[in-house]
Amino acid sequence: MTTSTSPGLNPLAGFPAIVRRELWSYFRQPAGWIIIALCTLLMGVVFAIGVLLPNQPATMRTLFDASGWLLLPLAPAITMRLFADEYRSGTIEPLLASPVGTPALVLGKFAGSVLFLLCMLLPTLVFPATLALFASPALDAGPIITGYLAVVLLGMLYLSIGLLASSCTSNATLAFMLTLFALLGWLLLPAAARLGEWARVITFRASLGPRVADFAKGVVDLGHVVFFLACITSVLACAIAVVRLRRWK
Amino acid sequence: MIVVDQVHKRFGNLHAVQGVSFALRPGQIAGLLGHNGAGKTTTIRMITSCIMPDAGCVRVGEHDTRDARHQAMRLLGYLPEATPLYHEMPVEDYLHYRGRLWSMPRKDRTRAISRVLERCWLRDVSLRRIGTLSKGYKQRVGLASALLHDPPALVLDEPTNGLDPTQVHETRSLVRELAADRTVLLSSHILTEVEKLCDRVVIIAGGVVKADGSPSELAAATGLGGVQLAAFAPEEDKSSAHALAAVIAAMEGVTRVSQQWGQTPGGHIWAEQVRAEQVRAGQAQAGQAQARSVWSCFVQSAGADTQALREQIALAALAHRMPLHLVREQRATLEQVFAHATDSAGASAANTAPNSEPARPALAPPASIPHAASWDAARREVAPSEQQLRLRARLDAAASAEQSQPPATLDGPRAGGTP
Repeated sequence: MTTSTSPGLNPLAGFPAIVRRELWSYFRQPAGWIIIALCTLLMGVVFAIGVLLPNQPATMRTLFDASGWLLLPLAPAITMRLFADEYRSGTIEPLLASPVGTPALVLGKFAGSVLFLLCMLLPTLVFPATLALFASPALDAGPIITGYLAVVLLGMLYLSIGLLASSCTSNATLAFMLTLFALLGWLLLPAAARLGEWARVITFRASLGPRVADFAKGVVDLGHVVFFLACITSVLACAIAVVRLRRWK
Repeated sequence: MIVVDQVHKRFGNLHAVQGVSFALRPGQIAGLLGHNGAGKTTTIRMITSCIMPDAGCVRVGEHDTRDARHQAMRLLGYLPEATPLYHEMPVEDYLHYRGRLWSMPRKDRTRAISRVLERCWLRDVSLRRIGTLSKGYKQRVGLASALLHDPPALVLDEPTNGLDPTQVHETRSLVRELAADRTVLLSSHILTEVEKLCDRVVIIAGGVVKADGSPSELAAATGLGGVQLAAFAPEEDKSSAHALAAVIAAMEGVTRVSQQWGQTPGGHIWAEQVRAEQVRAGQAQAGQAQARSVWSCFVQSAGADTQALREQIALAALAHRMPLHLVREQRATLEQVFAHATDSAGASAANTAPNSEPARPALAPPASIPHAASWDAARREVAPSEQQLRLRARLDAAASAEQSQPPATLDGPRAGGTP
């Protein structure tokens, strides 16, 4: 009897396999295509109403500023199945019984969903292309590139929260609702500033809107990038801990 | 190959597994038996490290699943209960995905997939989506994925659950074939399945191992097996029967001899035999067979093999001029072993013991089918008409062919076999 595999102890062994499977699973099911269509539709509506205006500056700031709300229903739809469906259907068992570490499992699923997010945003490139066609003088590409960077970072943060919610339950609908309410709470955080000076400071530091707005203006603040990456890392670490805990529970 | 050492698992207030221990040698095919909720699946999930034990340890090969989970898992192939699969994936894509999880290089992976597709008879459906396959095919896909990295040990959790009889037969054949060069741990609550496939049985109840050993060892340990004898014996010949019983009791390995007298009972295979005998002897017209006195005896033995004992008994009966009409081995069935081990059906098991109910003729059918886990078992207990007809045909053929045969016969290797 032989095992035709290398006996290495790479903690990320199996990561590429999981990324690949997750990405393709979106395209193998109608849900993935519906999410892409919905994203294009929502952003198209905002683009038509708020961006493509005659005699106005050729900028996509309105679209990027609204991206926090546009991604609100999309991110939970992308992530709700990631772990919840695996736990519900039992497909998590062969995964846990394979030589794949929990970090590789969680990060693989996250990377798969981020790649899908990029695929989802791909059709929306038609909007800046359209704007460039009609803009005079020529469109400044800088703010659009940084704006897309903000959308990707924001999307990654949303996806990580969705992944954490999905790892906590075996019910995909519940995972969707948990993510939706968590994101809604974060987006409405500035409303809590009225509670006092301490709340104002906290909400100012934790708010997402002003950071995205800075990116949309073409300003890449390293502090904003670090903020997003730190939040994403923390949430993913929690997700890894939850999956580990469920193995011991 | 697989060592489970004092593992415990709690789910809240439920102590699901309470110190389960067993060890499987390489090449062994073992059945993990238990009722639903007995702790089989929890034990299997701990072996495959889907969940971790609260206490105790599991070793696969040389590797402890706590410290060296990845190495341990490389030695295991696992088919979970209900065969969870990604229904949207084609069979071959799914197998490629599983191969990548094991970090198999492309060339090795392609070769391994080709091998398991052949071995699990999946070649024809390799491009079909898993969701469109029948349950039997899905089971094969699950097995193929478990075999992909060619593990020396397989863990199968209720592999025939929910399959139709043909699929059950196919899956069993495949498992038997795979077991030729692997250690297999098979969980099931279908007793006949374990009886047919396994050379080792571990019975779990309430999260505790109740019995562990080969089926024959466990059957012998119940004390329900032995040799059953029956003869026509007029009341005046009681002394010969008692003398024979005394001789049998003195034989090596005999632990207990219980005998009883009675009239030929009706409605059972024994009555059919008596009637055929009487008709043959011209003592009664067909349909008006007279009742005769029957001596029946159950010889309980310590050993699992009763072949030598049966031969000695036949010779002793000849010496005592007792024309035995029935000498057969009666081994405890796995149903009886299971009931005996789990205690839950202990009373039913006791009812099936030939020496436990002296008022009833030894071969009379039980009042109810004890713990009838399978139709096969039930059929053995109630002796169907097919067996009666076969018996009558044999008796008639024997009567016409040879009138001067020696009275003692040696028949039937197993309980429930045709006498």
